[in-house]
Amino acid sequence: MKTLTMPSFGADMETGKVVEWCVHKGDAVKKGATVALIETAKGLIDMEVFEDCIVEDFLVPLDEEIDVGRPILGLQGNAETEAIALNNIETTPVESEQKVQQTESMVAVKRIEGIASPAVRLFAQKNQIALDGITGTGVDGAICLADLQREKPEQKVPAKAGFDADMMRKAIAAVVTKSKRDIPHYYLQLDVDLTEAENWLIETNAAREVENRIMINVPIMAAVAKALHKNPDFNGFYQNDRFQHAPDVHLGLAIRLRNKGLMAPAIHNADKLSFSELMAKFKDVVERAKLGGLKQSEMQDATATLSNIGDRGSDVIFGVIFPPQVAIIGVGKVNQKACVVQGEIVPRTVVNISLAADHRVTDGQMGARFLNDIQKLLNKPAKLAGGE
Amino acid sequence: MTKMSYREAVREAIREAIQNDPRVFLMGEDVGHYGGCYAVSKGLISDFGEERIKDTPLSESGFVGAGVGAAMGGMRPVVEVMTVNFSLLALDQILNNAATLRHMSGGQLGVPIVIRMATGSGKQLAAQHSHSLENWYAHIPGLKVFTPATVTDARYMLQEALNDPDPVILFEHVMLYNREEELQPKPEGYSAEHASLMCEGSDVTLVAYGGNLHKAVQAAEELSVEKISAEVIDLRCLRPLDTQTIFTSVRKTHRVVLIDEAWKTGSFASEISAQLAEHCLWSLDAPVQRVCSKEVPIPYAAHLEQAATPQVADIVQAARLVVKGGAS
Repeated sequence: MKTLTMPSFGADMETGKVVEWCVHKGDAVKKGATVALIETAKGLIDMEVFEDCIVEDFLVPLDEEIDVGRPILGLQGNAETEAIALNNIETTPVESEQKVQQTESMVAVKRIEGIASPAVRLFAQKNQIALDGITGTGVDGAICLADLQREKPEQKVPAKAGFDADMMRKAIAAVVTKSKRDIPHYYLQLDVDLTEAENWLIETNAAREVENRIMINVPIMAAVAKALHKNPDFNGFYQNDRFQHAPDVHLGLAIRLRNKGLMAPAIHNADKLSFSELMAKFKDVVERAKLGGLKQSEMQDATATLSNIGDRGSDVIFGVIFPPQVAIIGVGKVNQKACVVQGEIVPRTVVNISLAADHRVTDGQMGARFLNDIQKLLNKPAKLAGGE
Repeated sequence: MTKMSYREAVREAIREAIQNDPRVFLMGEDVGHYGGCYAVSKGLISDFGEERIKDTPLSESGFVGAGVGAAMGGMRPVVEVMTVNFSLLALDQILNNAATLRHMSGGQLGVPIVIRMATGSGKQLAAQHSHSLENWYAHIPGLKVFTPATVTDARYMLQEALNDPDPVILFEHVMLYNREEELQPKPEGYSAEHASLMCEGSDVTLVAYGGNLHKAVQAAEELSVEKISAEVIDLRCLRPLDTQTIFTSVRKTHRVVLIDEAWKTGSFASEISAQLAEHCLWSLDAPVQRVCSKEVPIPYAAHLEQAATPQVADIVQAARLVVKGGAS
């Protein structure tokens, strides 16, 4: 039996809770399927499997603090075992000989795992109660109404959609405290001229349907991602007293949630995406961050983070690095400014881009080069756009 | 209040009907001079004479058919068939004539016949006199099927049946005839077509009718010792079926045991089970249980007859399973 362990969604995460199994015992699940909802201080995260497999056993109870790394789900590796997978109540009638034998042996033990009475299923649906982990004492081991009363599910089961805002605040507090305590930040900022990029966007957007238009933050994201690729010392993790480069650029986006929380899910391989792809990913990840449904990989994988405060009305933001990352890039408000170009004062579109970086890994001069690379990339929007 | 046997109650009902309505007469095998094979009509022939209490030849098809004709002609016949097993000889008259003529005649002809028959086991009458085929009749549109289980219903249901403009089958379980109860006065608004709650409970619903009702009531008493609160429903009438009373109870208790002396396969309990699956699935907290007869001809030997038919212990066991859980 293979196992999935309690994942870590951040260096500060020590425990998590399984609040819901999204599969049944015996289910054959595909790579990438969500198998469990994990509650962390950062909210509810979908946990994925990384290969096709069959769910064999739930190794931990629901709603208990489980240490990171502890096995939580038992799996069978491949499809050949599918034939003898336990039938649960969702599956179709048995067909193969093996299945029949399995069924007969279940009759002999007279205890069928994972069944619940119709009344329980309706009640659970209405009240958003997870049934896994509840011991059934009904006919053939079915979960019956009395089992729900005994288990007092209304106390055990968290509201699925709304995480605890207080808990998230505490988690943010823990992360930023750790960051400011452990990471010697240094700060740089540069007014970046967006005029070229903006003009290019006006032109390309004119030919696009409204829903396909590119926002000005997309070229910024693209430029930051490509600059991270070019300056790998800002892209990676500082752990166990040493820095390790990340091979790919997974750009974390700091997203403010309506209930006053903060998340930084990653856009994978952001440096390789065209403007259109980035725009789509950006919309998707923001929406899912706000509605729930972010995947485990998105929560874990960011190699550096971008924090865009601009649309909130601040000219400049100096970020707090999200450990174990080593850099956070801040984007201020996009402004029209009077600039001197070739001896003349002209209006230009300008944004302040800042860098807060880990001095253990890089020095100010490297940071300045990184910021200037962003400017250079934004000066050539057609190339940055990825052939669009 | 007077104590009365079920047999006396049926007899008094017939007596009252004959006295009150000149169209009513009783007809069947041995109902006159012999007094009825279960002594239901004992003495009636001396009170009312052969015009009103008619002995017939041993031909169920013949005398049931005669009853159908008499009903069409304006009479109100009460036809006694010795047992439901024998009624099969008259099935053509009952199904193809009595139940269908109103339809076939475009509403011009009704068949207001009442056919009484004994049903069920328990008297060691073996495989040709002991079966419970009420469900066969409950299957047929155009019939009503009454199953009086109490002395009070035995006393008052007959008149309800006679009042009906269409054919009614009345099943009298053989083990009920000697049963004595206090006869209750006829309740205000009395109707035969509603199920009744024999006792209220919260944990499990026991649904029964006819001779098995009292086994269900006894089972409920035994269950109460184990702190299992059972509600007992007397169906009273299988067609039309009062599903609302069943549904209301099952939606309250979430568990149900259906007791029916018919063979389990295709029993009336099966019909109720299907109705519950259709209408109460999401209220069910345990699989529906049927306590029915074993799928064998009802044996003669007393212990085998007992073993083949629903008993109190079977009902208790089924109720315990759905309430307390365990292996099905």
